[in-house]
Amino acid sequence: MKVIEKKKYWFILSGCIILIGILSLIFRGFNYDIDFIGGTYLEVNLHQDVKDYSDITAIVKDVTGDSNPKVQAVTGNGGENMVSIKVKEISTDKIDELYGKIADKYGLDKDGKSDLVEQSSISSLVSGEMKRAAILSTIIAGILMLIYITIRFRDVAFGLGALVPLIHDVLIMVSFYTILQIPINNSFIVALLTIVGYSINNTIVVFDRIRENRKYYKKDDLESLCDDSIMQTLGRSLASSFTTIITVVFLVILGVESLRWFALALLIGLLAGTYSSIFIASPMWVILERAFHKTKARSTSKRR
Amino acid sequence: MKKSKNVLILLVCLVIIAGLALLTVFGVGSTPLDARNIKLGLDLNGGVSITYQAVDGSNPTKDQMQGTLAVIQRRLDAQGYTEANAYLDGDTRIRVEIPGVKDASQAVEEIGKTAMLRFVGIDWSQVIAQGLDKNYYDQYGEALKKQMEDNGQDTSTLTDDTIQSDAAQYFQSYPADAITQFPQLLQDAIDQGLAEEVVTGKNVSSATYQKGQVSSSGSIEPYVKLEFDSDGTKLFASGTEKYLNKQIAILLDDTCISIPNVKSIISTGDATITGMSSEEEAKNLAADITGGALPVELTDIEHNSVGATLGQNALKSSILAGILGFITICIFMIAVYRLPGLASAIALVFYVSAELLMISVLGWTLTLPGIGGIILSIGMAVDANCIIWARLREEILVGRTPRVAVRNAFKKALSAILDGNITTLIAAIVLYFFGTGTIISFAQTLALGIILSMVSALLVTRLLVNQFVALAPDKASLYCLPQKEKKEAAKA
Repeated sequence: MKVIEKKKYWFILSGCIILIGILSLIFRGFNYDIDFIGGTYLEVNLHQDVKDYSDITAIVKDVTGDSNPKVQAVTGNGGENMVSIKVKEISTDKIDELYGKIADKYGLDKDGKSDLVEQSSISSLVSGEMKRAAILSTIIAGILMLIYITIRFRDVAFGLGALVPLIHDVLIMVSFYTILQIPINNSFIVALLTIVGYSINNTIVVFDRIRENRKYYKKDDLESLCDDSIMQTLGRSLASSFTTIITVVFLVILGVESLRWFALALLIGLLAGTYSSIFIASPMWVILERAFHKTKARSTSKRR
Repeated sequence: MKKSKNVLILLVCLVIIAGLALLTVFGVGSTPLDARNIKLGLDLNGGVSITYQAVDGSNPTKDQMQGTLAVIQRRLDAQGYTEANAYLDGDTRIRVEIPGVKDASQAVEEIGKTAMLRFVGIDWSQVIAQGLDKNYYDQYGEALKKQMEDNGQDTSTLTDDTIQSDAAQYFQSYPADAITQFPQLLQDAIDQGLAEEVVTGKNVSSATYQKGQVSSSGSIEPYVKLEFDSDGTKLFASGTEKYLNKQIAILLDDTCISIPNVKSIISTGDATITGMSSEEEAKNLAADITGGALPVELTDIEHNSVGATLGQNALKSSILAGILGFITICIFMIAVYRLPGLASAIALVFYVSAELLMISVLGWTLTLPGIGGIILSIGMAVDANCIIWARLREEILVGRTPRVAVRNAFKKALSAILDGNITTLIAAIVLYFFGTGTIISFAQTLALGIILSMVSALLVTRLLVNQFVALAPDKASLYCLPQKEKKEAAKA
């Protein structure tokens, strides 16, 4: 397979997804969870099959004064009739009032509160910090990895070549999150950083092979060098991606709501990471290696 | 002859790994060598976590925050939340975790209210004389009955008459307990003009633990010494004047710590609280007053409560996902990599058992993202094996004997495994230092997983495969899929 020769197509494919992501970001934005913008989240077990949430929505609007509350069905948390309510941040008194009214309407355990399965409230003060910490830790992790790889491979083209697929995977994940409007919360950050760690692992296996094979190929023939190295590592790339993906797929199928979102983020990241380690990393390295080589050649010729 | 040695090594390995797995599942008594004794986070066990922050502009000192933390811990104990955990989070935040609480709103309110030290002048003999206490005799009776039932005592001797006389005795002799038990009684007295707030903790400039001779009777006892600021001194002087030969109740929140008789007007600006049962109590009280007296007002900036059923469902479903993923991986590895794949599967048992036991022994708290970390690292543990076995296959296809091929495969795969794992470790470490709460739990299990998976891939599988090779050195088909060999050959 001629991966390097067709690099244009791989870049265009990824570019398209990211472009759609950017457009989606401009026109629809992110679906931020309360972790990121502050707010209150309630999950109530209604014990009955309620198909129309307009009654609950009306109660929520009435009690909280939030004109745009999100009332949704929850699946996978061990009950069939769970409903989640997401509103702007409200006080604990208001939470009690809101739950009390819903409990009255559907005959739930009002005083014992046993049907209020989950309750969270986060002030926007904390949520801003989370966002900063997330961006900061992604950047720091990226820089540290760049340094490590550059030292280990004694070549900054490898370091930068590994960083590009990393940024690619992050952008793809972010794109999917805005395109599919998946709620962005703390587990998204955890997933993002996991992928940052994992995807580079795949890239390194290919780069390791390129480093090893280099002496067998002509200096200019970076294309064959990379294509062959990719093919040689393809079996392991697919096998290990498959095993990791399968565990995550089970989490997506079986997990509870919160874990399921986390697993879905991982799944998108793992697929992006597998793709980028094969189709983005090596072509990028070839481009960078050529660029560095040219500047080197030019500077030596000038000196002459 | 040599082979018997290899069989023995193989058997010992298998017995050790099987033993480790059994230990993980069944454990030894109540020691930490048992995966069932892993501490579970609130998202898996149910409970409330609350983060409080000092209100804007209060700029509390470290001591003030420590004092506030002490108050919160005392409140948690007082509410019977014995498993609760409270700690400082940064300079201005306190995080409280309470397992097994259902009513999050109530917990948030009760724990976060500002600790308040109050001195309330009260004329207790008038309270009794006017019969304010009589309204609470019934409540007292019920509480008494319940207490006796809880202790397994016979309540048949409790008649209305005995309750009445008992209650009268109680309110007469134990005003401090009575005020603590029935806070409304104090309010009644204030409404009737029999009591009034003299001064509050805001006017206390220091509270220190002391030990010495307090009364003329001469015994040495622990006590708490209070000093008022200038306003407090004036207020306290006029209060002691007004309530001379009456009482001043000292209250922390709604708990009446003591209710001494006022024997003289105190205009020096200091007071002592005596009647401590131990040095410990006096020390705690001084800390509580420091915390309560200084206005570190808290607001809850974040709280999260998970019902116990939801937590258990989360735990059960993720364990199931883990087991299914584990089995699928084992089948896949054996199908694709044959005998080496079997070695991977066995090593994976070692790896999972070791990770769970380590988490238990290290006393880490396992949360939902933590389980995600474990499951993810199961997938990643196999990755190192895939790198090695892919190399092994190449070596065998070139025509090397399994023995040489295994040695070369491990040697050649090492750099890729090391570099790949170290970069992932970097991500885990960054997460650990920048993350909060559950993210730290994820970073911990991931980092531990990476280290253990390297040990498992580089040492355990190697040991196992070496024995396999020694026992069946010639059959190359056991070490890789043969039909792919033909394809490769055809291509070449």
